[in-house]
Amino acid sequence: MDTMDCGELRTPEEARKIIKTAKLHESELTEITQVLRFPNPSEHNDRLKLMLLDDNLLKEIEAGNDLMFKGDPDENVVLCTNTKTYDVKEAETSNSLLLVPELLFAASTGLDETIQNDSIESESSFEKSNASLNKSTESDEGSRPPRQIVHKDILNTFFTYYELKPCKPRLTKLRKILEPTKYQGLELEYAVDKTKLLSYEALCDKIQASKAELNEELEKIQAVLLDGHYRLLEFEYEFRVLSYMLDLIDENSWPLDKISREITIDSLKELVPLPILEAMFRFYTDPSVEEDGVQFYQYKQDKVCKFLARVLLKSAGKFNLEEFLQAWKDSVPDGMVTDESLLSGIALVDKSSTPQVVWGFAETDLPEEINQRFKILFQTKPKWTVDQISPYIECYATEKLNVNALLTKYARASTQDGVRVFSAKHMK
Amino acid sequence: MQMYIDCKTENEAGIPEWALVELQGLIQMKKEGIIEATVVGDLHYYNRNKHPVLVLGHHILNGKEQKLEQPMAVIEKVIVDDKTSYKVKAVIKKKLLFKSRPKPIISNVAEKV
Repeated sequence: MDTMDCGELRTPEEARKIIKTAKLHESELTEITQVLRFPNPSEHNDRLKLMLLDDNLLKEIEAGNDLMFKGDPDENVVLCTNTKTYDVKEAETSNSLLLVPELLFAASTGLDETIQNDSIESESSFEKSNASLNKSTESDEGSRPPRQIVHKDILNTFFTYYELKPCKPRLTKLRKILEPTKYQGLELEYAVDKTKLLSYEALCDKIQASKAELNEELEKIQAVLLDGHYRLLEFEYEFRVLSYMLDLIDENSWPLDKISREITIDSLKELVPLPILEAMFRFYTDPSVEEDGVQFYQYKQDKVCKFLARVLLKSAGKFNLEEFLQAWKDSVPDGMVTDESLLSGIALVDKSSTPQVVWGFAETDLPEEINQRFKILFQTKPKWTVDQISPYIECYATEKLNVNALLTKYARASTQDGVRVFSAKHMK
Repeated sequence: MQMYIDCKTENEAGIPEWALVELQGLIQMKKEGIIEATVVGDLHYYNRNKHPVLVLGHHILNGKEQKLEQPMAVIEKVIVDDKTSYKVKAVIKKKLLFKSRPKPIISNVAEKV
């Protein structure tokens, strides 16, 4: 018995009396009686919440790893581990859930092994003990030691709990909050509103994603850590730096798979802040060969070609396709191959017009809201194949709702010259 | 905005495991203005099948020990200097489920419990 306790206490005699009144049979019960109590109101804890876990979260908690709730007042809260994001919802139950710390389960209340082994039948013990009530209770009382009593307090009663479901990190906000402080070159730094600069901590605070997911997205959107703040590179500036870098290929007569990182950085460090230079080199190259302990690199050709296509297409309006393809080819370093297929997601080609034309049409310039986006897509071009439209709607796809399912939902399918095409759901 | 959930425990044996007792309906105390801990009921286990039995006032509830389909964490909201964080107090893996109708105790002895 817990003698430290105060409040209402049950004595062994009372417990035995209750067993008898309830027509239970003490010899059929394990040795300990647990007396459940509502605690002293000052110990009642309204600050507690229950939260369902999956195996991964249980492991994180048992390992003592930290978790985070994230969300502004206008956002649905998510829970983040270091690598994953979970959607948090409150669920209700009509049963009451009584939370009892240190409750003993059957195995810890002195199971009598011999009786346990003798008995095979189950469930009907209540009726059985009823029948044998009179003869057994008398013998119980005579020979048995006093019942062991432990008091267990119910910390709180719950009718709700949090449900957690793995979800995609919510990253669209990231680009938006970094947009106002794009880096445009040292000479234009004076124009940047310094109060809007964001550190990694500030981003963690604002973005509903785990650190791993946030880091991955920062790399994907090419945000660079400069003087403690993450900065996007302004398009013109990125072009300037990339041009410097590509010019070195010719200047040094490097084969395309023998780009020297050391010389690139050394040659340009006076022109470009080092963190940006290093990041740009990482964004645009892959390691290639190693010779005499020196690692060489090669440019990601498709990425370079795509970027240079965007540069050419940047001025508004349509271009003669043939002329564009020639200009594009001339703009990339010798040996790199431009291909029309690389224009997917950055430009549209109209082959039905004379002459054939191409114009810039970037995913990032489209509205974020899905209905708005489909509207613009079908205004721009009435019929799309899956391959053509995919780059513009992939960002909405989830594991459950892939691009095809999105098209079924938001577009009308038809067949044109044997090719499946999608058009607006409602003709205007 | 982010709120830290502290999963560390001072307990050397690791994070404590607590339990749930799940009942249909709600237990209400007749007494009002309770100022000290108050007994709700007596919980026993049958030797032979380990099933729990709960005597609650004038009712008997027969239940079962059950593993939770999904484990739970008990978290506590902590507010220090206007800053909200949470602390994981325990995990729950098992519960005692009393889902059958409570059986009334029919007493032939006029005795007050």
